Amino acid sequence: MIGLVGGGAILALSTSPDRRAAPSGPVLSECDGQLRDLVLHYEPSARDAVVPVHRDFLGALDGDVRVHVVCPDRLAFADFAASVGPVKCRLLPIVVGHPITAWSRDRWLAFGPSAGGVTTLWSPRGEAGGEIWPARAGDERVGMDIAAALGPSVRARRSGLYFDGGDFLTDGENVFVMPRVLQRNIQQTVASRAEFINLLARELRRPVILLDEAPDHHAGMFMASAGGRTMLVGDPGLARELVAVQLAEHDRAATKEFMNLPGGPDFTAATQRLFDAVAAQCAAAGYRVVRIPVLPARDGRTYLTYVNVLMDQQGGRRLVYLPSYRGVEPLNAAGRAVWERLGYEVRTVDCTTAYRHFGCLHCLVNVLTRS
Amino acid sequence: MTMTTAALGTATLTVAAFLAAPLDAGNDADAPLPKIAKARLVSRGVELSLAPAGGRVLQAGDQAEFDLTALNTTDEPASVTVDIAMTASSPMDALSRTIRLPSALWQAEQVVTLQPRETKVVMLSTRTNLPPNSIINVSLREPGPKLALELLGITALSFSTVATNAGPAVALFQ
Repeated sequence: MIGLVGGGAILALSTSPDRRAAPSGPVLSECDGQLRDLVLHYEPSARDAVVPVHRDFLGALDGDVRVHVVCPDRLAFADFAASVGPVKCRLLPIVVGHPITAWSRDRWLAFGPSAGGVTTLWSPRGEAGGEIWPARAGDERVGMDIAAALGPSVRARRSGLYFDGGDFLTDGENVFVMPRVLQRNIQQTVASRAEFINLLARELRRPVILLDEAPDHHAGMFMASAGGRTMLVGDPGLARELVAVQLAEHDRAATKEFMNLPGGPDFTAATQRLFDAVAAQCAAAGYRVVRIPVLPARDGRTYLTYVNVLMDQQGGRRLVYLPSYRGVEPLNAAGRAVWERLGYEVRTVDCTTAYRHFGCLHCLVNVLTRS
Repeated sequence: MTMTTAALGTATLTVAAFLAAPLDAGNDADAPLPKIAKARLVSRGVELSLAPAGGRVLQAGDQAEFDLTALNTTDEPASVTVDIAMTASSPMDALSRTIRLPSALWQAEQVVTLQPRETKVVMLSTRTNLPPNSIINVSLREPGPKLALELLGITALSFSTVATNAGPAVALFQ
């Protein structure tokens, strides 16, 4: 009896509300802190699309970064390591034993550890399309797979909300939330907009800025917070000026679609208005807005973008891993110049093989921890 | 001594039994929010909801029919107009990051006039074949420009037309 009482007392203390509450800090900023642990997915059928991007990116990463590679099986990891070749960073497999897609970003949000705490992965209630897409259904389990593989320093939670990780953009102060998250949840998981915002602010532990209007895509395709309340927002109009000559030459040749953009570039007033609306909403939130060329296609999904980046902060030094695309060099140079003017050291990553699949570098790589 | 040892042993076993699985590691402990059983659009005191006509399970190739249920929760007569739109989207291919933008399958505007506290069910025929392997969304919204998020309305129904070896089937999300 004494033992039971004693044991009960120890349990009561160790499972007190403070301990049971998520011990992690707020959702990780995408622009502050040094990259420590990254997560990417590798599915061999996506080799041609993603390996060139990962080879470029991992080759540019510093040696003290750990990269966890989520693979359906161990052979896939061996294939990945051989395909990527020698890199300075450490590649560590997480073998999950079920189908996955190649896209890590949308699977979870990471909440950074507070002092001595753990990292928490927050996965959505469900994945859009999981019912018709077995690999996407497998993606739904990846947050739990990572927590199981990495042990007590990482825990996983399932949200009550539907979202993609890429629907959020977080900096050191705020979380910007794309309107499509509300659309997916209103009258499905929450009754009202106010309930939605309150719930998110409580879960994310940062103020939430819900955009009313934005292109129907993930945030990282058209905006990026560069820190210091500076927001980069895509601008198709700027891209149009930069590709005008190439586009005219291409139209004369009349071969295939320019840069394989389905339906061609989207320079319509309606699309431009959506990008401008994002800029206006960021400015209204007190951000300095810097426009950067972004070239969207008429399918609304394929973008040549220079905000789909990974940022690293090493002391006072800021680095950006910036996508580039073969065939639009003036556009690449303009995108690079914007980041350089903001004081970033640029490391370019060739994303030519990936952008046709509706995503880019930021979409392929998720950040688990920053220092 | 024996009693102390036994007590310590029992305490250790108690703690070990309940803390064997670390509370903070690799778990899925949070109970998800309950899903809202039936999505409703409220327009000037009239609650509008949608369901497949006759509770039918919709399949790829079907021409979908829906029951639009309108309930006037006020003590005054009411007349509301609602836009109903059905869209389909699917992955471009297995490598896609996300599904394609939804394409419009069918759209209609329906006026419903109700007496105080009256409930009416209106059947809507889409005369459009549901495509296979797609996510089908049916939304309700008040007519007007899509300038503010509140005017976008709600997704009243969401289901998929999954092609399986045994033929098409549909998984209703709600």
